[in-house]
Amino acid sequence: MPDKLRQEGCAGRIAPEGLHREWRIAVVSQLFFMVGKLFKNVVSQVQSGLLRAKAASKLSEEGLCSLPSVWDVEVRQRLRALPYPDSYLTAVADQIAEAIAAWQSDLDAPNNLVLLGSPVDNTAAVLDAALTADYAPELTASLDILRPLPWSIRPADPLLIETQLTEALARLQEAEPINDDDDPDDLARRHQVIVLPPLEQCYLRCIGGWRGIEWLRDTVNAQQNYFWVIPSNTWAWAFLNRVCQVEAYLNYTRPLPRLDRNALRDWITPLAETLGQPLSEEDESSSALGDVSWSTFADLCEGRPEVARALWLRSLRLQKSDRPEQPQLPDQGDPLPVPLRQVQPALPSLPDLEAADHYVIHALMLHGVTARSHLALSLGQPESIVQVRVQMLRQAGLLRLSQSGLGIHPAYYSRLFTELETNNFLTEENS
Amino acid sequence: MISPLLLSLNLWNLWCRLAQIDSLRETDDAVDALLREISVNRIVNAVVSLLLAYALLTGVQSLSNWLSEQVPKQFRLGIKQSIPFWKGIILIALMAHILGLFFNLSGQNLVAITGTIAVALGFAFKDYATSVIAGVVALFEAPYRVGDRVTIGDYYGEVVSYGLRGIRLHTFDDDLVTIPHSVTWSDPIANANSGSLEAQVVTDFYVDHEADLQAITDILYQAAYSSRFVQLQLPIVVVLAEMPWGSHLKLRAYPMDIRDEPAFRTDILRRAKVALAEHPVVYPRMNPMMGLEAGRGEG
Repeated sequence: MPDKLRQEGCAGRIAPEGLHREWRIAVVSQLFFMVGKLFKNVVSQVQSGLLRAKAASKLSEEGLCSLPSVWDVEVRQRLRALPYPDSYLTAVADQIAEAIAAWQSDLDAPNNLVLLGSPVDNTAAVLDAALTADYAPELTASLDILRPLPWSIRPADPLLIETQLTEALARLQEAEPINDDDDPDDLARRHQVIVLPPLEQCYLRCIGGWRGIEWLRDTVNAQQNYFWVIPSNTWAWAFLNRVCQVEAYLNYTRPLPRLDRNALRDWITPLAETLGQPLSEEDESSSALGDVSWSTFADLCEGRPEVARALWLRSLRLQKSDRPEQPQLPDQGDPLPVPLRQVQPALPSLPDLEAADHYVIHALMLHGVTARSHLALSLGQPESIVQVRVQMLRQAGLLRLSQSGLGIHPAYYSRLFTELETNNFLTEENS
Repeated sequence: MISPLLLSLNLWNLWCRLAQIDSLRETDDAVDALLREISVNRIVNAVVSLLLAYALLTGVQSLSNWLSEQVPKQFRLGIKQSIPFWKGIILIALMAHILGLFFNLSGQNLVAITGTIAVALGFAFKDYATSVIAGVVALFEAPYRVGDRVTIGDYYGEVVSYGLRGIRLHTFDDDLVTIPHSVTWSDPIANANSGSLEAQVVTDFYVDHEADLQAITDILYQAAYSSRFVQLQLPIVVVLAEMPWGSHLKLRAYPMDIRDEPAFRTDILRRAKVALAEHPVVYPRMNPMMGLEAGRGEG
């Protein structure tokens, strides 16, 4: 249907003759668009298949088996504890420092930076790690970095977020009251940086659920003496842009950096070498770690650290003969008692998903890690119904449950992205 | 003695009779030349071809329907809309094959056959022929395609089948309504989505003149934006019409998939009702139906 009609909000049920030509053009362009999408989808599938075939031929799984669950959990915890690469955090800190330097030197420079990551990136943790003396020594030494909201996960009553934001700002202003005689254009007054929780945790998709975002949108521009660092996931950003046009107000956005093959290798190899027993010299020729195609791995995880962690964990194997009947947990920091092998990391396949699953996954993409009650409120369905779909998706491995709530499993992010995009959902790129 | 005039008349009569006999012989020859020899092999061939074509038609329909439900939504309508094309190809191939089996298809014969068929159809299957021709025309004009949501007469539903004679509509009440293509000659056809996955859904709300329209409009926008079914890439609009008994608000929005239309409307209504219950919304005091005829003019 032509956009013109839609924009007017009056799509007529009977097409006038004069619009026939326009309709034809719209249909042809839609056809080309669909063929393009189909082609992209097929190419993606073929590419993935080729990568898997290539990986399978390179790193055979013959004689290998997966890790026992006890060791799998142990390795996962060590991977989770693995700090972000220095180059990654330095890049983030540099982006923030650049934006703050502009704000401190130019009255018209934006007083905000929105740091965009994917729904599986932990943007809050990245910011916490980057804004330390190790990576941003000048910033931490010369500026007051404030975190007025104590939470990084959505509060139980999301309708109170606006109140919490208002009170937090009031507390900050009480701590450093503004003297009426001060020049509001004095650049020397610009020394306070406010770091907010991730934006996807500051709203819920329900009536009244994004009042906090609207307050923030209006307040950031009014409070030029604070610099606002706002992490957000790209899906939430796209949604909020539609419903309250946040980008018109918070217009300085930067994506999180991506890890390239070298950064990935330098990040994971030290941990890999300490996880298991060293291979014997005879085995060394088949040492999997050395044979991993890091560029392929970097392509698969698209440079996202969380996806890399998940995919790499899934690629770890044991020699079948090394698998003990009753595996014991090693002591803190000790390697596993057997050598670990590795196959080429690959994206896992998606199970058959129903329309109801798409809505649950889309809601989790928009909200990041979310409590089940919030998920039900966002979907507009009773918790009991939502729980059924959640259970199915958890069993299929697409969702994972943490103390904070439900979230998308990073290993499936890329596939789910394509799945939702081809099913007409608003994603990060088609926004 | 026979007069020369009488002789001449008899000769003319004889010549005419001979000419008639020649003409009959030519007609017999023409018929022989038009028809091929009918043998058991040809009949078996024709029957097998018919069965094969029927199997192919059924197969194409089933395969396309199955495939369209397996692929992502963006490709669903494209696959469904290709069904008439594949059916047309099969039918044309079948007709060409059958005609080739029993007729000598020279240019002259083709004219004779089509003329005969046209006359036969004209008398015996006039309505059927009208629908078939309308179906072919509709393929090009596309007033409806498989997968579209159309209103024809009193029926609104999804076009689930595009046959030789007509289409089948699947209504919200789960009825399957068969409508001949010939309605395109005379009746208006309202197509809600015309080949796209989305179509505008209008949800009506009625409030009293004293109600806070700004607050209600805001709630309606939020109800649409927060629905999981809504297509966020298309505009959402609330329009207002004044009626003698109150204000009539129309929320116009698009679901991501037109199949979700009833669920989408229900979701919006439910969300809006819950939110409006917390506001001092005054609903109309009169039965709106009483004023529908009188009220006009969208604001």
